Amino acid sequence: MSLASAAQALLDDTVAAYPQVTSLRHQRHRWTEPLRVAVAGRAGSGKSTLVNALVGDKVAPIGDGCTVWYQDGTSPRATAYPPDLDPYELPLTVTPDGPRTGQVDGDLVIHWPSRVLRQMTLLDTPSGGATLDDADAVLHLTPAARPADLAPLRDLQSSAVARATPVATVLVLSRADEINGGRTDAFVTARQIARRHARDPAVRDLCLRVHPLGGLAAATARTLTDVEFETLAHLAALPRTDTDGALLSTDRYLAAGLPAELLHRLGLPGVRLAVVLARTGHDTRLTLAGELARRSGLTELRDTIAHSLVARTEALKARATLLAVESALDGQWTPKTDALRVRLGRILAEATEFREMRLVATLPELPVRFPAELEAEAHRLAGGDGTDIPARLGLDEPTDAPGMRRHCDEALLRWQVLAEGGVADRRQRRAATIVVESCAAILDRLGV
Amino acid sequence: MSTVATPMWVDILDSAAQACLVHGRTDLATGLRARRKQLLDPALWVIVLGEPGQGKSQLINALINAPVCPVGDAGTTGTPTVVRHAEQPGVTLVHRTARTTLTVAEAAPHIRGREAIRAEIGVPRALLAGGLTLVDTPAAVPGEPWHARLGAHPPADTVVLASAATAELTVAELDLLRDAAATVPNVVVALTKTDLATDWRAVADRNRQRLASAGIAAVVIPVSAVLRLHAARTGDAVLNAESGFPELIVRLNRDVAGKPRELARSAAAQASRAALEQVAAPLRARLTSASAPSQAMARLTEAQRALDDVRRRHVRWQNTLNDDISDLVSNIEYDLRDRTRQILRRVDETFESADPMTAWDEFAGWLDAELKDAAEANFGWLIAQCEWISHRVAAHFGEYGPDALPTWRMHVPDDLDRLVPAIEQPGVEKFTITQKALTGLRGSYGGILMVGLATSLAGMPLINPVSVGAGAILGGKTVHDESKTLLKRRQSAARTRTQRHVDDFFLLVSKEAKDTVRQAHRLLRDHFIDLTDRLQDAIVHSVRTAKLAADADVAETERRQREIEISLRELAGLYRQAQQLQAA
Repeated sequence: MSLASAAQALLDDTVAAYPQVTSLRHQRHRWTEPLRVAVAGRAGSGKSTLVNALVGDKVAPIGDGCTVWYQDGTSPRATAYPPDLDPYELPLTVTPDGPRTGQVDGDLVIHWPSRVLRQMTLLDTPSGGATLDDADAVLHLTPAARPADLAPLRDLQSSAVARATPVATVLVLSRADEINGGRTDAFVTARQIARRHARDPAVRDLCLRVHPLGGLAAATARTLTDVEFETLAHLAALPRTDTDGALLSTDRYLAAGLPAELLHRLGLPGVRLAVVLARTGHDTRLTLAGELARRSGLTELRDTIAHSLVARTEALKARATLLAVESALDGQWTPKTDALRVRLGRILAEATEFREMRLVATLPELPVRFPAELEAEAHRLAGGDGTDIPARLGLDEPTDAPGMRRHCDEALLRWQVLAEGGVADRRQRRAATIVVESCAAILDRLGV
Repeated sequence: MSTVATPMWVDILDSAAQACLVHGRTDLATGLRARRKQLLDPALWVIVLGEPGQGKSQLINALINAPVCPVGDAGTTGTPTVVRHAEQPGVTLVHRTARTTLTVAEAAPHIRGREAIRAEIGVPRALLAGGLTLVDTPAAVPGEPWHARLGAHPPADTVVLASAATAELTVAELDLLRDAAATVPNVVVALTKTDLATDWRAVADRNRQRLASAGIAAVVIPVSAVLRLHAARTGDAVLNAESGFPELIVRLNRDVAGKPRELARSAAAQASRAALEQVAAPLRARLTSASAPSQAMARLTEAQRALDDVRRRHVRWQNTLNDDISDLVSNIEYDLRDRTRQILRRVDETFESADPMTAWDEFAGWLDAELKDAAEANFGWLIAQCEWISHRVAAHFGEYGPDALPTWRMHVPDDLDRLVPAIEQPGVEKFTITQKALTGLRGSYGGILMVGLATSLAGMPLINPVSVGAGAILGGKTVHDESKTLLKRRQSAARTRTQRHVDDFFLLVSKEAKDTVRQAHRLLRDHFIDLTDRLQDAIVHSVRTAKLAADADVAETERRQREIEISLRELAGLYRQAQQLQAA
């Protein structure tokens, strides 16, 4: 039985045993929806900027102190979900600064036509700290990764299921552009810092990955206009001494008569980086925007969201379901509770998906890395490039089942040898064991 | 201090330290002494605080225009670093047991680490020559006191909080400032990174508002280390002015110059006030707690309440006793009356038929026994009632339990017989033979004469058989009637005699019963009065002792309160002096 069907069956039986727990019944609907990704963090940590960067449009901030849901829709539309009342439609005005709507009490759902939102629903959470039970995955933004900053992540792991599956949270180190005094190498340094945190056991056990992000540059890279590109190209064409003076500080920038709008959109570090990029051959709007997105960390973050979260929608939905079941079981004891708990434990133990997700995330962070070919194969087999069988086996052409089985058998043999002593490092062996599990799961699906 | 005139603030600081010692706060006294030593030191200690990545180290580097504190690449400061003037640049790492001397470049990894207690960097800079001493600190941890990594009483004249202009002051930063402002007279917020922030002027304004509403007297100085360092490299005076550092330097220089006077004065005043405040707070708490009612007072109230209770009870038991006794008297009399009446009724019945002449002895025995029984039953009932009454009265003394009952018990007197006098036989008119003969003759005479006269008409003699027969019949009838009349008279005499006897008996026994009741009444009354007296004595005694204790307690409390008040007045005096010092 697959993880999804096992989790759904467990959910059905738990709903039968706990008919009074309404949150359990909501879980059933969630299976039919896209993945829900919450953006969380303290005030001023850049939540709305990240939402804009991900949607690729100026949609946030909207609503004050409430959770705003961004869902796909044919036209911009706002619906308010006040607590204890029926939802109602709100008038929505679209301005150049983003959509505007009246004051609401309760959650606000914004329907917005966007390709990104077809695959996932984004939740812009209030700074005060909303419950993240509604989300399947969390992007947690924080300027620094001190113990105090990680406290919300630890809170997310208060239950046993959450601790066993720390795969639904991505830590985003926002304000990466301000490091090193906002010099153009800020993003490089930010990446190094993020890597250091990713190796830190205190951070590693709390989240799937750590990403640096220059929020302003990222959001603007997705929406860079031709006019803005022209300005940047013009700046890049000026002698270096002139631009250096103008880009020394925001005051000097404005004093030089440069457009304030661009400064607000990119930030001074962003402008500096864009000018340097424009000078070094990124001479069209698309290439410049693409490079800005890459440097700002947005490209990597979107890759992680696509490959580690959206591609794993089923596993994350199952995780959310298991969390809800666990919370119901913890809440009250009934004669069926113990049997349900045993089933929950078995599903957790048998699910290779969560271990695979961890493996894909941690492969490049292993203290002793596999040779590049093996690392790529492990990444592929564990579903890092896609969770269907041909993607896992790296087959470009259509292959029949026996052929796929032969490929898988070979890989299984290779990784079994590694797992049973082929590599010396303990964490490498553990990784190899998970790859073996993945191979076994593929063979299972092929029907041996 | 061996100088000619010690400044006034030193005296006040010493007095405050003395007051702390007197009230057992050696910790505060130590703090004040450390503060005194530090204030007499001409060097101005400037502590740079802040959250991570706000540019603390860079601020110091830009101030002295030398890269002495490690910055960048998220290299957070791990060891507190003291930067002061020295002819030759050099770093001394102070460990728990040793000191090592290094060059500035060598020291950077040690400053990032946490193994040393502190690093002391000497740099030849004119700015520092006046005694300005800068302290770079590891990033503040929310919830910890501002001097958490600097030791218990770090020298501090000015605290500079570095906060990036890209965001407003956070709650944690405000808490840190509030904490520092409580002990350090000068607090400055250096709004760093103004070169990066697009709207740092608005942020500065909002920060000033937040500080004002939080009641923190701190100036906000926007600075940009990047601009300052760039200006130093290029010798650009305008850019240097733009960096905001000149304003910060002017302020720090003013503090250095003013340290022996204004700054030391206000710092001493502030430290003294803070210490005195801490000493006074528990005293004030004790003052209010002392006015709360004491245990002795509670005991006194309790005893007085018990005394009132006993008095109320005294009246109540007396009423019960008197009522019950008068009820008893009437009941006893009625009972005796009832019993004697029944006896008399039977006596009447008896003498309807019986002849006292023949049955007297038997009757006298029966009457005697009946009367004795009646007296005994009456007395028995009386005694039972008396016991019941004593129980009822004793119930008023509930807490004494069975002890409240009198120890003596009443008994039916053994000599009740004595009360019942022997009855005398009434004088009986006997019907003797002679009387019978005379009576018979008198009766027969009329018969003979009457019938003889009638028969003589018939020619018979006066005395003839017929007249003799009639004479005999009439004579017999007369005798019979006469004896009947005598019997009646005897019975009536016996009844009268018995009646009188029973009346006598009633009088005697009821007198005796009443005497007994009265005696019992007296005995019970005496017993319970005695009991009440004893009870009252005990309670009065306890009231007296409780009152003594309460009086002593009140006196003690007042004495203590006076002491506390005196102490508080002294402290208040010192506090006022400190205040005046600050205002001067």
